[in-house]
Amino acid sequence: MNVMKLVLKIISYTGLGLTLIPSILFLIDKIELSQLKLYMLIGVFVWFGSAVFWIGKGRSKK
Amino acid sequence: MKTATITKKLDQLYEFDREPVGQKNLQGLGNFLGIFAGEHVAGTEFVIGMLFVAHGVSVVDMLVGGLIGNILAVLSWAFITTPIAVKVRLSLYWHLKKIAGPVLVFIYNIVNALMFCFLAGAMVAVSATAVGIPFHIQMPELNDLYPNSVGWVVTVIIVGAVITAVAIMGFESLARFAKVSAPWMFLIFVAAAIASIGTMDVNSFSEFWDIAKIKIWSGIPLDGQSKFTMWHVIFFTWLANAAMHLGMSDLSLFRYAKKWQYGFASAIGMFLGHYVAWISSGIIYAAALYNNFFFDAPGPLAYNIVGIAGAVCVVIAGWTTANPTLYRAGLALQVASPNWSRWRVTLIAGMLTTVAALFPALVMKLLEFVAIYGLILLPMGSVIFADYYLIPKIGLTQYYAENRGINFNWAAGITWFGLLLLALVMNRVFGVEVFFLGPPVWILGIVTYLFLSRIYQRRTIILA
Repeated sequence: MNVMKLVLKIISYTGLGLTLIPSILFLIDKIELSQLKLYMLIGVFVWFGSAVFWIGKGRSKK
Repeated sequence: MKTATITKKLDQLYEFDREPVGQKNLQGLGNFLGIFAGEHVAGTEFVIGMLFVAHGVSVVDMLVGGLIGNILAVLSWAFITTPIAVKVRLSLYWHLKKIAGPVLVFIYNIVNALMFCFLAGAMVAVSATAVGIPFHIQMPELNDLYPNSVGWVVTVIIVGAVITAVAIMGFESLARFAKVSAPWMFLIFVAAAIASIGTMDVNSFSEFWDIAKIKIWSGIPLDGQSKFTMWHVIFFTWLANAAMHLGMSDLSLFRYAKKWQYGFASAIGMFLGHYVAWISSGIIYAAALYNNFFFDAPGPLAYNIVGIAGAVCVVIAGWTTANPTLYRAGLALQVASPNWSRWRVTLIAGMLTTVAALFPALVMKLLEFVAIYGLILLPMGSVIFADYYLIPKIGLTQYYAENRGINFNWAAGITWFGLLLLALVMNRVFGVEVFFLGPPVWILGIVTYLFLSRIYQRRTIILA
């Protein structure tokens, strides 16, 4: 795996973290709903901004 | 157009997979896990979990019934569909043609295409519920069957047109985008459910369980909705993809499997999409009701709890799953017009899909539609099963249409239409709900096909 792909994967997983973790923080009253919505929106950009460069690229299904 | 001409053109259309899949084209387990994980976290999952809540499913019914139903679905794929798929290694089209003949396969494809258009329509409608949010469109409500506002009609037409246009320009790129979206979409479901619990004054697991019993899956249906029991959940969950497993559509997919055990790969789609995602969407809906947010459309519900990310998820979930469905509809529809180019067929399929999406009934009665969709295609799965395992054992000819050179196997045709008629009578006259008709229809299909084949094959030989 080249370094670029590794970096992209780390960024993507951060995006997934920004999608899931805020909901847990909201559940345990550590953040407000408005913050949850903001973090999850950032997660959208981080995930799609990075995952499109490595998921399903150069591989055919059938 | 003469039957021979249609058959020739159809055969050309499916030419690329006329032969059984060769050893070098077989796919690994990871491929099947990916396909199931991606295709079963769809836009419609947002609606199904919500409808279970609306139908008054209790918490035990949901958790236990969903578990049993999903296990039955996985076992159906693993023990019924995949063993035949890996031995014959033909697509459904060619396999069925050998048994039923080209004319019956033609009819089957048209019916299948229409079902795919309706299914894609439900997904377009799901997307439209999110697209309409910034424009304050009046959303359909639980008991709406017809378009309820001009805004809804305009939104659906625009969404349908965009989805069709993108599908015409490139299925492949959107299929890749769907693959990128899948893990994120699943986490949005889970995150929205967790956040929803956070809005319901829950401080411990025991409190959550109490809230789940009383406020989420209360066991009391909403106004205008029928009461669902655990049996409803088991049968619906088992048969939500009946067309694929018992109906044998996934012969086309699993013919690429190295081993029949790959049928168990369906578990990932079932338990992520048809268990966790349904439970999540139920929690999201119930939490919205708990907080006096009275919307029945997935877009506003997701937007309410997780903001723009939720609305984007609803759009993408509907869009990315409508895309392959539209592709399949186009492929199946091409039987009616083999000379037409793919873009033209996709356009027709897209128009049918968009018209279907205008009717909120497709979303609000999605449980019934999904059950009917599976039921309509089930008898042909029985025919394939009986032909593969049982016909040779009772001394009859397997792949009868191919072996005798006939265009329409009446034994298969009467089995299909006769059982659908019987199902209709059972439903309309005797009041048996559509959710429970699948298994008896499938089993009766096997018996009927064997019985009719015995008469039909002897009669054809005597007449010949």
